[in-house]
Amino acid sequence: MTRSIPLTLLGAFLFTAGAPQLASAQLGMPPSIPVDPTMPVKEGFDVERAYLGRAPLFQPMYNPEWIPLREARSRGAVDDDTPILVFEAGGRTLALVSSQMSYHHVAQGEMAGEPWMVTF
Amino acid sequence: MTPSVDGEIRWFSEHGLYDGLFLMRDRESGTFWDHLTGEAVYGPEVGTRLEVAPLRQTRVRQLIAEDSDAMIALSDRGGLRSDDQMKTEGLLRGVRGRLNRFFAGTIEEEDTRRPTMDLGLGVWGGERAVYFPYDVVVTTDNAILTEYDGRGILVYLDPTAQALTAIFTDADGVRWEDDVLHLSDGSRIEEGVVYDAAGERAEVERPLQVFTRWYGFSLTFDDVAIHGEEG
Repeated sequence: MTRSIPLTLLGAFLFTAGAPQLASAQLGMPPSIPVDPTMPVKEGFDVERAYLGRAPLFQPMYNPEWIPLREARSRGAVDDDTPILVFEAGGRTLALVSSQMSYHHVAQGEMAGEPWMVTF
Repeated sequence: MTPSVDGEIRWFSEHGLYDGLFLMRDRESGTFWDHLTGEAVYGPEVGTRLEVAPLRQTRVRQLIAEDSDAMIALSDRGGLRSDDQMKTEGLLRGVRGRLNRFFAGTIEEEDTRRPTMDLGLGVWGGERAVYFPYDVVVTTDNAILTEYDGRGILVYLDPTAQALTAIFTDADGVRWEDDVLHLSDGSRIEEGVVYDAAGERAEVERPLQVFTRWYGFSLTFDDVAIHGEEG
């Protein structure tokens, strides 16, 4: 299980008006960092248009504990119809619950020495 | 995606928005990264791209049929969306919706060839990214056999997962028999599992793909082709 760390901004994401910089302040979201003109920028990326948060927008899921999928189903933690995200790492087939990833958005860890990351 | 740069692991979280999509940031260098392509966009690591691999959307039943040893990680956090909202049926309900203005504020100009929240499968990694609209796949008997980057590709609506999926194939024809998709090379796809002509489970190769809204895919990749449309 991942640790529970409260987040504050997510509900506000859904129906908010305004330009990114203004809206972030109004919503109590992490303030944006000032653009550093000396920092490298990918060609074509308009950094002035981006919202660059000073702090994470979501709490990522780091180093989760893995259990057999069949066991999770037996426990009732998931059912046959639960949407999941599937990937391969360390020679294993691994799954994350799609709805839970709508909270974390990033999951990351290692499996059999192979680093992996899922973004959603 | 592989979260390492020059063999050194980086730790990522979503930290920003651009073109209506989240940007990741790694805590070690402070670089911002495109969360779909793995490309560094702002910060010291610009010029670096994380290795990406296919991520599939499916359902528990299908994965257990495919790999009985599959593992899952559970969070004690409920999602912002329910399981029902994450199913294709739930996602389709948002097709006529609009992007909220906070996200839209990071977009300069949308590609209006499809509705903003249109749902489809984006395939990339070849010379040109291609978008397969959900409604086009459905009206093509839930399966499209075409070419991608010089190879045969099958894009289909998996009846078990209820999600669009793409695999590479040498077949030149397909037909449905109930929920089983038969390919002209004798292989078949049943409950998401691919069997070869001998009935043995077959390894499949998948292109990079994402089940996505149109705006996100079209703003991430240049000159996206839409399957079924000219140009």
